Amino acid sequence: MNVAYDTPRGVVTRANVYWAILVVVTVLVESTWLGMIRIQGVLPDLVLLLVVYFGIIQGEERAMMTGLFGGVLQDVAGDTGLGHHVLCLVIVGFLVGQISHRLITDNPAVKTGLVFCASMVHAIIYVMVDYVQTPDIDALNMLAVSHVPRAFYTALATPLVFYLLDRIRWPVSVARGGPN
Amino acid sequence: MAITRRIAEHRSVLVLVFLVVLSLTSLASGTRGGTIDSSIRGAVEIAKLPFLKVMTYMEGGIGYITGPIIAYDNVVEENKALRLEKATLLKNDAAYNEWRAENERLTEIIGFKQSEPGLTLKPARVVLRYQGILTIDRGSVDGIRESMSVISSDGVVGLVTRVHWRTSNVITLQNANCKIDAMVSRTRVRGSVQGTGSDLSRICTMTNLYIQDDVRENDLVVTSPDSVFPGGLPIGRVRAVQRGRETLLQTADIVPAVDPFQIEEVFVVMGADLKWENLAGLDDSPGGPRAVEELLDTQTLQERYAP
Repeated sequence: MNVAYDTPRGVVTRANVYWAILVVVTVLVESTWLGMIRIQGVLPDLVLLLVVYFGIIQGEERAMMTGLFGGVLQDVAGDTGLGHHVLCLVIVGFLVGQISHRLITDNPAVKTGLVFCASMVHAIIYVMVDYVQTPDIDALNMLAVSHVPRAFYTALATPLVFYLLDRIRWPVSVARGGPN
Repeated sequence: MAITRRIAEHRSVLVLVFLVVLSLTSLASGTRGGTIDSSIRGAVEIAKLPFLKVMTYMEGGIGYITGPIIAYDNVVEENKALRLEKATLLKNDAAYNEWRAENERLTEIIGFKQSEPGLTLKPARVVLRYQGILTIDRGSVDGIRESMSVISSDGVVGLVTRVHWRTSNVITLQNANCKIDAMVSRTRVRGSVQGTGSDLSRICTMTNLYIQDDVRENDLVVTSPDSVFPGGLPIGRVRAVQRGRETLLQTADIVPAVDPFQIEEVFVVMGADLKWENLAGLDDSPGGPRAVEELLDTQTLQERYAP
């Protein structure tokens, strides 16, 4: 986590524990309770929202770590091959971290648009990996029917999720620019 | 130093490359089902359990609150169906209870028949009760004759007074015209038990008791061997003894052993009837003394059946 230079080591560890708990809880919520708000079989991708959030707030490294951790849990929870979600989320996290340097990201609409774009990138990579693994799938149809609606739903959930994440009282400053 | 600085500058790219390679390696090697994969999956599944439980409770709670509103029509229909089912079950339950009670009575009757092997008993069902007179579903075709004694597993019921083709009338101790020769079981004191004729009171009266006869409350009163009934059948118990001031006789109030308003199955004593019939000369043999029977018809019930 990006913290000030004079931040004590224990506080940083505590912040990392908070982050890990947040990711785990998010994956568990997504794989259990989130089914209650399913619309036509489509669910928002909370882990992707976390990746984008941390990419905006703390940079690409935290976003990639979030993608790694959350992706592994998603792969396990979704019974996909280990690395499938990880690959997508890590790339998305890196891209969001890089782009957010150049964006005015305080505007909720920008954040929402960024989440939608990130979702689409995630979807494209996901379908590509799927296609490589199983060439006989209808990749475009899958993208249109499943992933684009999911990207919209995820983008719609952005303001609420980001608002809730902003309410978390992190143990250390989360200002950008500090070393991990 | 330059390499270290360069690595630090491009750390995020290196991390990305490392993670991408790691993911692709994992995907290419197909680690699904491996030890690491299985361990992670097991841990996640365990961690999911509390969430799933909470979700189940929440779903139940939400369904409990919103279910009747969302599915109101279904609830109404289901309610109707359940009411119908409840009514059917109640009906079946009532029938079941009737069958069970009947079964218990019949079992008791069978036990009684087995305990009285010397008697020829014809089982009959009570089909009507009116002013101390029972109508049973046995008649002349079943061999029933007038003045046959009728008993139950609890004791004396009464006497057959009218015999029809398929039914017979039985006068019970509830009727004032019924009079049975009786005795106190404890002291063998003889007397006559007769009904009061009141539908409101089941109490009978034992008369023809001398003032010095030892009759006490709660004494068991049974049929006398001189009566048309088999001797020793319970009639009832003494509830109170009434002693007159200027008479040599006393009377006793008897609570009958059998309640004619509740009894449903009875036995007509065939053998005892035949014995009494022979004694009275009323056998059905051709050329038998039928004149005596005709003479009996002119008498009152009390005169006809009093011992």
